[in-house]
Formats: sequence, structure tokens, C-alpha cells
Amino acid sequence: MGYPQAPRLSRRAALQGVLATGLASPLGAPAGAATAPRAGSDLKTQFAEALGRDPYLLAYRSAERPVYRARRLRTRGRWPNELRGSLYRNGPARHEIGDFRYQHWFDGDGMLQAFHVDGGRIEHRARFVETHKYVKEKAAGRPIYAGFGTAPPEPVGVTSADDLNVANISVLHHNETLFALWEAGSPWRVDARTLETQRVGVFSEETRGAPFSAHPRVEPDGQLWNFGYVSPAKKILLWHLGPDGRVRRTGLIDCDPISMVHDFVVTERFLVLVICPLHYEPTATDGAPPTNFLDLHRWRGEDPTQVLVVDKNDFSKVQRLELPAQWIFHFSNAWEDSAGVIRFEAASAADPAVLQTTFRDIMAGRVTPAAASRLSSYRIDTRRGRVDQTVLRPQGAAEFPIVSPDVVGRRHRRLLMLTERRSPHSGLNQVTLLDPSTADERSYRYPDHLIPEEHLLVGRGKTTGDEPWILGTALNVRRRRGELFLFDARALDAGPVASASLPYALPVGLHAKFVAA
Amino acid sequence: MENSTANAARTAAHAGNRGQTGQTGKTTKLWRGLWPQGLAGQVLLIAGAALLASRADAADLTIAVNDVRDTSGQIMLRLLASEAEMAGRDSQAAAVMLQARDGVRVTLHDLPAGTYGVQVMHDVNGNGELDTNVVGMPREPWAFSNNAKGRLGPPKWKDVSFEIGDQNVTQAISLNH
Repeated sequence: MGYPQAPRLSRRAALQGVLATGLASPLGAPAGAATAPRAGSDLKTQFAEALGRDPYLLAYRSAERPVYRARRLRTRGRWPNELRGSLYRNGPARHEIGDFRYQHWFDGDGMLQAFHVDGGRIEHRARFVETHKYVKEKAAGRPIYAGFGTAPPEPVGVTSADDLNVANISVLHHNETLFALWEAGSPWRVDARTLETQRVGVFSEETRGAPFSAHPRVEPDGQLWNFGYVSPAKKILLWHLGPDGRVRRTGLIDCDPISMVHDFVVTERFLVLVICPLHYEPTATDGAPPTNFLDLHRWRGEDPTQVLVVDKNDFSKVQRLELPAQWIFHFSNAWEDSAGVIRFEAASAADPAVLQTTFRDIMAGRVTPAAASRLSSYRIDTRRGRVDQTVLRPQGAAEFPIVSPDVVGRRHRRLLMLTERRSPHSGLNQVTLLDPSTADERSYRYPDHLIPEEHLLVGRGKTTGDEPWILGTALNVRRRRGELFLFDARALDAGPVASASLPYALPVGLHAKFVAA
Repeated sequence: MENSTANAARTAAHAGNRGQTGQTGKTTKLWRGLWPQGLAGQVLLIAGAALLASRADAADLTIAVNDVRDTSGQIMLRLLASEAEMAGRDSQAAAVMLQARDGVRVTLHDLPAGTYGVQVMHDVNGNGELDTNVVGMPREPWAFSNNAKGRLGPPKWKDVSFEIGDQNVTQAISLNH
């Protein structure tokens, strides 16, 4: 089955018919009438009731307005004059349309935030990314497309994954352009100051509409590497963009079975993809009609995790290795040691229950614990064809591992992440800075009324030394407002050196990037 | 609205024979070489070879192509007589190339009663193909009869197909962009 095709007039032309390969769409859900497992309006009522009992659920409340702006935030502590730039954040924020509430956290339409920091003067803006889906559903006053994990009543057909693109995962600033990123479709260009949506990002005509993951890796010289999964075709698209934003090269590699792939790592010579066994199995629907993309996947805990090591200079050179089954969203950063061994860390869980259950249940206001992700370190010896995994930090949950942007693909000595210590809200409540080589770590545990989001390492620049700042946001559920915190990386455990408060609360989101002015 | 008409059976047989002479060429060259641009009328090409049987229970199919946003290139249209034809490139029924114009129409006469579908593409750059991106998604406008859409991909035959009996049928099809 394919899109319209020219009539066959020669055998050769037929063989060139790329459409016949089934490479039709990054996502690939079957047609058919969808039936909602839980009515959206019931979810909305359930969540509202639960929010009345559990103040932490403020984190999953739908944003109340399409645009937010606070011209000058109230600050405390000393904001250094030399800290200038914009902290951008993205995350699912519209969880409800009319009476309908999405059935999965990841379905929420993306809202971009910017903290424009100029020393102690901090302006905040937030605005929804006006994707096709957002605009059409806003006009309709109801959901009209099936989503990542949501089955609305009577969804209309979609012609490409970008019809479902909610641009809600991360941000990218590359070649002086800001993008809001989803992972199975196009990036969206956004005005870096006002956050107004400009248009779909197109890097070349040949790559228009192709999947561009939310975790591109940009090396210090501006070379950008990314991937995108094409589930029905069991392929992964690889991207290389130059510092000028132009496509240097793309390539398709086989990946069978295939899964949702959220993140990856690069070294100076290699791209490393880790494919966890949450397999895309559109036929294994257990009799029930699949109604959303997530439900087309099955956890196969008896199967290995595939590790693909790809030569940056020749995408057809792929070394395939295996790890035990596990579920990974995020990696730290990879580098090659003096023996040529690839080393990186990841937050790894025993299974993807958090994705399949917890992030569904939370939409009804139900907090369902899942297997915690813990920080593991990995070593890939490409010459011996071996990969090893060691649990680096068994003492507690960890997520959002991150390094400074100036060491991408190079050795990192600082790994920042969110961790858990006696959390009152079943989530991560602590910021931890770790030296992976010594396992030395420092942490700051947030007070119980604050839910921290991803924190970043922000360089101070050459003139003021290389010890970075740590910048991050948290939701204050007591005062019902967002907060921005700044730490000195040398004394993270001493707590924030400065903070700023928003006059409103936004739902918790996913990823952030800091762009120095 | 101007109408183009064609006797599908007669012209299809003619073009089908011509088509077989070009087995080694690329589709692009064949399309251009067989039927020069500017052929009188809007029907530039009819290819395929199956509708030869004249039957009493026949009717006309008129297809209107809407939401054509660009007048470059051609509208390429395939009449499908089965699910298998939709999957492949063989056109047993008929294929038509029209000048790109919003609302352009064509009428296929004396189609035998049966189940049919229509595929439409706007070959904007005139290369004879539906151009796709690196993962096979269309980069040029396309559509199917009944304005059928799939979920994340092409629609299914059951949504595309329609019946022709002894009454004339009109399909108004809007391009997906």
C-alpha cells in the first residue's frame, strides 16, 4: 500500500519506487475506528478531584493561558552581572482541550519558556508552540488527532507524523536559530526573543518532514548529529548538519526490531544508539484495536538491548552489540579513552513501566510508582566487540543526566543530574553533581514544597574561570509559582546563591538549554 | 470549469502499446517523450490497457481535483480497479495526466460497473514521480478518492474504493499538502 504513484512504464522505474518499501512515515499507526479506553472528560474530572487532595499534582495541571509574560521577576540573592543569556525550557503544557484530558503526559502540547537573564534583571515568557495540531485542535475546541498515547473519540486521518507533532520535548539553538523539538517529526522554528512560532524547520528539501529527535548532539565546533526513528520501516535516520545548519549527510540504517529511541551519544569518531526492547509490534495488539502509537509497542524483557556503534564518516559501517534488557530515556555524554574504549553514562530502569503506566496514570491524578532509573556507566570496546554496564550509583533514582555543552563528544568530569532522596512526592527532589571517574558527588536536596526540573551546567566563560554555574527551575507547590535557582558548582551542597520567582505556576516540563548572550 | 473527456478504453490501448516500447528508460523520460507538453486539450496522457471490454452496465466517472495551489507541473491521476493496483505501479485501468490547475476535471467514459479507486498526485516539478523525502514521505501534493486519509500513512483500500454501477459518478478530490 502506498501513496499515489506514477503508473509503471518500465521495470527499472518500478524498482526505484521508494514508496513501495513502506518507508511511509516515522510513526505508523493503523487506520480504524478508535475507541477511547477512558473518556477524556472522565479523566478531567478525576484529575481535578485528585488535585484537590494532592498539591503536588499541580505539576500536571494544564497551563491556564496560551501566553505568559513577566517583565521583571522578583529576585533574591546575588545574580552575577556576567550571567547573561536565555534559559529555554520545553515541555507538555496543554493537557486538556475543552472537556477532554489527554491520556498520556507526553501528549501535552509543547509550551516554550524563556528566562531572559541579564545579570539580576530577569524577564520570563512562555508560549505554546503553534504546531498544526495545536492550531487545528484549538480551532475545533476538541482533540481531533490520535496522539502518542491518547485516543480521542473519532480521530481524523493523518497524512504525516507532523500532523501529530506537539513539539513538546526540548529546544535547540543552532546556527542562530531556535527550534522546539519533538522526536518523530520536524523541528519548529521559534523566535528566540518572543517565542512566537515561525514555521516548520526544514534543513533541506530531501529531509522535509523527516524525523529529527529531541536530543541532537552538537559538538563544540558546531557539528550537529541527530537521528530519527522510522518505526514501520524498521529504520533509523541519521543526520549530520554543519555549523551553518545545512545538511552534510543523512543515512538510513536497519534496526529490527525497532523501538522508540529518545536519546543517543556521540564521540569524536562514533555515533552510539541504544535500542531498548520495547518493540514496535503493530500486529501484536492482543485483539484490541490499537488506538495510539504507544500501544503499538510491547515490552520484551527477555530480548536484548541493541547497541549500534556507527562510524561518523560512513553511516553504513555499523557495529552491533548487545546488552541485557533495560529501559533508557537519557544519556550523559560519550568519549573515547586512551585505549579507544567508548565510555558514557545513562539513567537505566529495569523496564519502561514509567512510560507505559506512570505517565498514563498521572493524567487521572494517580501516582503509580515504577521501576526507578539508576545511573549506570557503559564501556564499549569496539575492537573486541564488547560492551559492559556497571551500576554507578545504586543508592537511588537518577534522571536527566547532563554535561556541559563544551565537552560534547569529549571527556566529561562533571555530570549533573536530578536524583531522589526521601522524596515527599515520589519524584526526583535533589540535584547532584558527580565526577564519574571518582564517583565523588555533591547534592542539594530541595525543600519538600519544591519539585525540581532538569538543571544545567552553565559556563562562566574564559575570563572568569571554568567552574560553571548550575541553573535550574522548580515548581513551588506551596506558593503555586515557578522558581529559578542559581548555584555555584563548587558549592552545590550549600544551596542556591540566587533565585527568582514567577508570578504564576506552569506545569513541569522536560528539557532546557542555556544560550549565552 | 473546463471539462476534459477521454474514452478510456480506446486511448488506454493506444498508450499502453506505446508504453511498452520504453522499457529501458526512466519514467521521467517516458512520460515526456511519449506525449509532448502542450498536446491539445487537457488530457495529456492516457496509459494502461484493461478497459477494452464494452459493457452495457457502464457509466462515466468525473474526477475534479481541488486545492491545486501551484500551476507548475502536472496532475497525475490513476484509476485503480483493485487493492493490488493501489499497492503497485501497474495501471490496468487508466492513467491520466492533466495540466495543473485548481479544480481541473476529467471524465472517463463508459467504465464497466465495479469497484474503483483513484490516486492523484501533483507532479509539481514535472519529473514524472511523486517526490519523497529521505524516509519516503511525499514532498509533493497527493490524494485519494473519497478524500481518504490513513493514520500516519496512506489510507486503506476500503476507505479509498467506491462503486460504479449504471449511474455516472463524480469524485471531488482535494490534494493533501
